[in-house]
Amino acid sequence: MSLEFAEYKEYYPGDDLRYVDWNLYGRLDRLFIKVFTREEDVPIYLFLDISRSMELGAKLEYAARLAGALAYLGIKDWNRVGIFPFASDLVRGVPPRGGYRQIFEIFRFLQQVQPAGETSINESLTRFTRIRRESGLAILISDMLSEDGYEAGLAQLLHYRYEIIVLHLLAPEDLEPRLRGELRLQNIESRAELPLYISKEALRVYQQALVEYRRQLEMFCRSHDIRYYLLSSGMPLEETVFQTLRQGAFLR
Amino acid sequence: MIFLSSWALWLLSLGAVIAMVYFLKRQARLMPVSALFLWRGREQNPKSSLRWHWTQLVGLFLQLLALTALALTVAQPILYTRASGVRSLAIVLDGSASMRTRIDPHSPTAYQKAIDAGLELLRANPAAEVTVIQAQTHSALLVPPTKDHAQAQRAITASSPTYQGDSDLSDLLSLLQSQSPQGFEQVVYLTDHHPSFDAAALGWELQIVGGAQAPENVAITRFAAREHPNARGYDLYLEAWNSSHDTRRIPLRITADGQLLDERFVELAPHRISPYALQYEGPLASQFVAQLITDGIGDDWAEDNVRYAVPPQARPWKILWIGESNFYLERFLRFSGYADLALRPSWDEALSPAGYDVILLYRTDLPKGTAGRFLSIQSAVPPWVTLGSTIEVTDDAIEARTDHPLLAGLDPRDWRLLRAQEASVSPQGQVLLTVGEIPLLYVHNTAGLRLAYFGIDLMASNVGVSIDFPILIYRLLSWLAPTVKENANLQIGQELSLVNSEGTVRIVDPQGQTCDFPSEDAHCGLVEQPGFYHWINNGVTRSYAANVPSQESLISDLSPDAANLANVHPTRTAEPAPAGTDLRAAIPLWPYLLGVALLLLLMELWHFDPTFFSLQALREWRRRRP
Repeated sequence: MSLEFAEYKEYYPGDDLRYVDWNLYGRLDRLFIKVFTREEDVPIYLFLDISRSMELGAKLEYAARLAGALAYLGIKDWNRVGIFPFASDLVRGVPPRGGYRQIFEIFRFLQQVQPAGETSINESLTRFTRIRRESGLAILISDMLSEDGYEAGLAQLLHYRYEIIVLHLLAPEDLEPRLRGELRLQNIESRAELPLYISKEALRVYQQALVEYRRQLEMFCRSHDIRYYLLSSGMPLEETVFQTLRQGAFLR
Repeated sequence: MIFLSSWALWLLSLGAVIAMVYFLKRQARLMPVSALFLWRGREQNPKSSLRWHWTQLVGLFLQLLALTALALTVAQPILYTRASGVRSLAIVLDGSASMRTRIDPHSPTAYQKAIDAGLELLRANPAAEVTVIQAQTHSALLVPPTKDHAQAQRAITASSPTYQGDSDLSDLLSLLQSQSPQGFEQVVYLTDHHPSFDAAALGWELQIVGGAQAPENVAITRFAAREHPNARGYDLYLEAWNSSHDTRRIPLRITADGQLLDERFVELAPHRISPYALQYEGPLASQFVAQLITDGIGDDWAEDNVRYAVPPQARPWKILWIGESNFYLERFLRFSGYADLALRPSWDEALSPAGYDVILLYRTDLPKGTAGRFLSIQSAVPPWVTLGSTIEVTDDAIEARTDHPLLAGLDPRDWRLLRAQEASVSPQGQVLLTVGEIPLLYVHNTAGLRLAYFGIDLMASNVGVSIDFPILIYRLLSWLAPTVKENANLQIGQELSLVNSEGTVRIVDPQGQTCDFPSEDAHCGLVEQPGFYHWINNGVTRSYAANVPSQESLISDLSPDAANLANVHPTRTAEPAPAGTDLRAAIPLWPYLLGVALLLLLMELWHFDPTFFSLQALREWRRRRP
């Protein structure tokens, strides 16, 4: 919540003398009262993916630092900010509040966050809409690599008039895996294995699949007025915050 | 082929480790990924898998080959091949000062040419066991017999000419013999001039390395300073040499103790030594430098234009002390710097008085009829001085002939004696001091004998601690052995005299570097550079002038005509070995093997990650650099 100057109005007895503009009185010899308007604050919900896939390529550490930066900027603008970690389901986080104390609360929480469980964006976001009905700005920081999809969860948020921003965070290992030869690929979340000979061709096909997955996600977001940003944990955080997100008008 | 370090072949066993790592790597590794669904649908491709296995096998093969090459490199294999040339070769490089000359300002020095000729000899005799010697006043062994030509090459290239004179043939021969008692198949002497000995008679090959044109050298070949007998001035003697065909008028500059003393032009006639005697008034300086200024004038060797001189210096008397010791007299002689003492308890037939200026006899007897210079203190020197019994001295006063130069200015009336020894002296001498009828000081001088008898018992009188005593002793020594002046001019290659020293002697060379003798450094005390050397012992400093031997400046005419006249072939190659002789050249293979190993390692690296050598990788590396 913030106060913004709107206009002057002539003083009437009973008005709060604290708002008298004494400079104007000095010039015009008449008393004027400064009138302000109060801007209603918007709650910001930071959804942080803490599933085990975020462990790979230090994505979770990067996501936590990014969430901290965004929380600080939100609180600095007099907004209420809360952290909602999730994996297969919503995990207890920090409920939205304003004030500088909240930022320290959020930092403390982010320092302790640990990866756990499998990703289920749909389940987590649906659960969220059930427990909290006040709409606001929902920022989803996740690698979005959820086998059961993400569409239902995001649609649920849209239904409750949340403004959504998706920060799609991938690691360099996800974007350009440096794998070669005969391997047993293991899903870091489910521990399921896939024996595979990785040749240049196999890598090329993987890249194609990843591009296609990203394209579908981006299309979905665009078609539902959701802002989408692809981020890499290999990029310096400052560059992500001050260049990528500012260029996309996400930050002012 | 042999291996110098055959133990390194054990390194080949590391191949087993590499093979084991390979087989372990063949098993499919577990690799975590964020999601599997992006990889699904990619079925195992047996063809690709087979190719991958083959490429892995190539990698293993390259690694094993690189390991083999590295192990063989460390093992230092030597390959022997048939070769021409001789089996044992001695290269004698003339290291004397004249090898510093260069006929043309832009040409290499004679020594550099000798180095080139030496290296050429190594190339021409690849199978030879080589010995390299540098020949000068003190010849030096540069390389003992070795088949390692790389070592010989390094030693030859790193060597430099000295400032010493020519070598002595007997020294050189004994040095050669010490390295190969059975002799060398070929000895090549690389020099810039004809040696004083007949090289051909010794069976040596003489290679004259020098210029192909007549020399143009001017030099100061002698320089000395002498004080006038009246001590009111001094003379400088100087000789200058001009080896060119023209008369030359060259400025001569003389400095004394660092101050300019004289500067004048001297005319040097061609092919002649021109002597100069220059007289100066005033006190004698301690160090003189004479220099011919040859700026802009053709001169083959500039370093011999400078010569250093130190006037002769009085040296201490060398005294052989025989008999009992006496604290006062011994300390006085030692610490006054007047004398170098050698102490002996009694006269011995084996003693050789030669080399001593004076023999001091203290309360001992000398065998009859011994010739020499004697200072006898209470000692009989028969038949000239014989001693009797000791008697108490009552109140008899000492009578002295104070008109004699030995006693002039002394006052023996203050001397007090407790007792005196009766003595009978030869009437051929003079009695200068008596107490009663007893002679106390007697001097005698005949052919072959100079004797001073001093009959006062120093332990039973105050004479030893009187002010007159050291004066009297100094005069007696001066009378017995007039002061000897020592030549302080040395040639490079000589050794500084250390016999008159006690304890450690500090030697300061012309560059200001010091060494304390005795020293582990064999060069300490050896005069190796032109300039002034300083000798410091017990607070006494002596200066010596060190100069290049003058013969080194008299550079021979080695123009082709002169060489033909001397019947010397400036370049002569070694005779080939007789047919059927088994000559083998050792070729070290390790540099080639190291190259192969590095190449294989690069191939393996490329095989492992071809992108490593791509421009993109380079850009990425530069981007990641802080």
